[in-house]
Amino acid sequence: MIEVDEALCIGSGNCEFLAPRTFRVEDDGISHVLPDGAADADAAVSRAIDECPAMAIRRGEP
Amino acid sequence: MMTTTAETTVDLLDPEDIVDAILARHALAMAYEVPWRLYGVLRSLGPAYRSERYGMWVLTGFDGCLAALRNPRSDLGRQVRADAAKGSFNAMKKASTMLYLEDPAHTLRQRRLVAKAFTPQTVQHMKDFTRQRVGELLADLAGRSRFDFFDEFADHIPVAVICQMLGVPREDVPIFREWTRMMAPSTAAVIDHSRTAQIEEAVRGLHDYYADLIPRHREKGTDDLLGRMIRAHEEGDRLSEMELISLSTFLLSAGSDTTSQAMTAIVRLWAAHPAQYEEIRRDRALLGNAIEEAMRHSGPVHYAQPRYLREPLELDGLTIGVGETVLPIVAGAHRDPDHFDDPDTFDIRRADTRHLGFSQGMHMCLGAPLARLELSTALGMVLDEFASVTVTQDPVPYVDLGPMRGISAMGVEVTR
Repeated sequence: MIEVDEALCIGSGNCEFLAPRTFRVEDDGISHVLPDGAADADAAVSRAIDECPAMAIRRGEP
Repeated sequence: MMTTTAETTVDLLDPEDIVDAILARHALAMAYEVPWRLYGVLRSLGPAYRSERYGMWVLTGFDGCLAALRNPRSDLGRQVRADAAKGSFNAMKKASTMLYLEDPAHTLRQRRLVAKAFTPQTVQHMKDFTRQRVGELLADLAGRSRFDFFDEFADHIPVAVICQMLGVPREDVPIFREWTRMMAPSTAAVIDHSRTAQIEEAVRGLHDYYADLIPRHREKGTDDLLGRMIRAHEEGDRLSEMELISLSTFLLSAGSDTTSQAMTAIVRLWAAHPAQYEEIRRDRALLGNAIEEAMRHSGPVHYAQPRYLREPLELDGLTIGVGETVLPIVAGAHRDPDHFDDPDTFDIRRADTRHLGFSQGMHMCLGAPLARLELSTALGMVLDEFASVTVTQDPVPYVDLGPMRGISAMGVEVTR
């Protein structure tokens, strides 16, 4: 279960670039987790979490 | 025990001398594996080494570097603001870009506004341009089995991409390449003052150029990155003229040498491992990890900008207090045996290739998606074009790139 903290997100889009089937920056300028979140490789999602400049993405409880 | 190159001798038993060699005596230009030997010596002394001469804590382990980069209230700009107060034009320009702002909230405000222009779609749009430019460069090299990979290939790509993004006409790309070169030494942790005049000249040249370009873009409402940055707004807030000029200058210097040096370092490493080169050529699903692993093993940025701590940094058995300065040597982190198995081995199938080459935390590279797109596009075309690449001479070091381990010439021999 991946979560984006909307209060922290700055919409950099790095997560969408790294894991495009998991994250999308919408018109509101905030990254949203797409419903089919298991479609990207786990390593790509981990990199997206590590490299979020706002440190806004985390793995929640499943 | 001493280790030497033509210009530099380092006393491996004296950590102070090692730090001085890294920061001020071009240790990054020494024989290939030497810098990592230096980081290994420092790492063996503990989680951080306090340099009395430079008044900073040097970090060479993975955990320490990661903690320093993610420290939410560290400040990169104290020295820059001090230099700006003394009247340095370059420092005045730098002081208004997000990397050097004092208040993290101001950094995040600028990042938010720039992100509205620098979107994943904007980056994807550059793929076709990159393919086209790389195609032209490869066509120019057709029929030649020997050429200079840096000077005749890699060095032309990122600057052309940034100029295209900013809406700078093609005929002006050579002068931008020259300005980038002149500005490069300003990123060093310890500034070489003999370079001040050339840095100021380049920054003034860029300032005047953008001061002329921005109003024309504003009037025409262009759809390039600069036009989008001009129009970007959030709750009535916009980037000022000064910010637009500083950010454009910053994007050019942050996005040019870094990527061309990464491309050159990656090919150097691939060429030294021909069996792995052949594997990537046959199975392009390996390309992404082969790039990330090369960034870990030999990424060009050796150290991040020094951070002034406004929150203590807790390391393994050591607390570094508020007011201290830390220098994260990420190239040391990338070879930390406590984090990576067999860290000196280059392995394109390595499972954990998470590296700090684009930093992490609040100052995580804004252009990482663009850099990755340029690298995968250009290197994919290199793999298509050349059945093998051999480096025919020891690459000539480029000593003027601050924290980067640079190459200014790399002769290669290729087969098709």
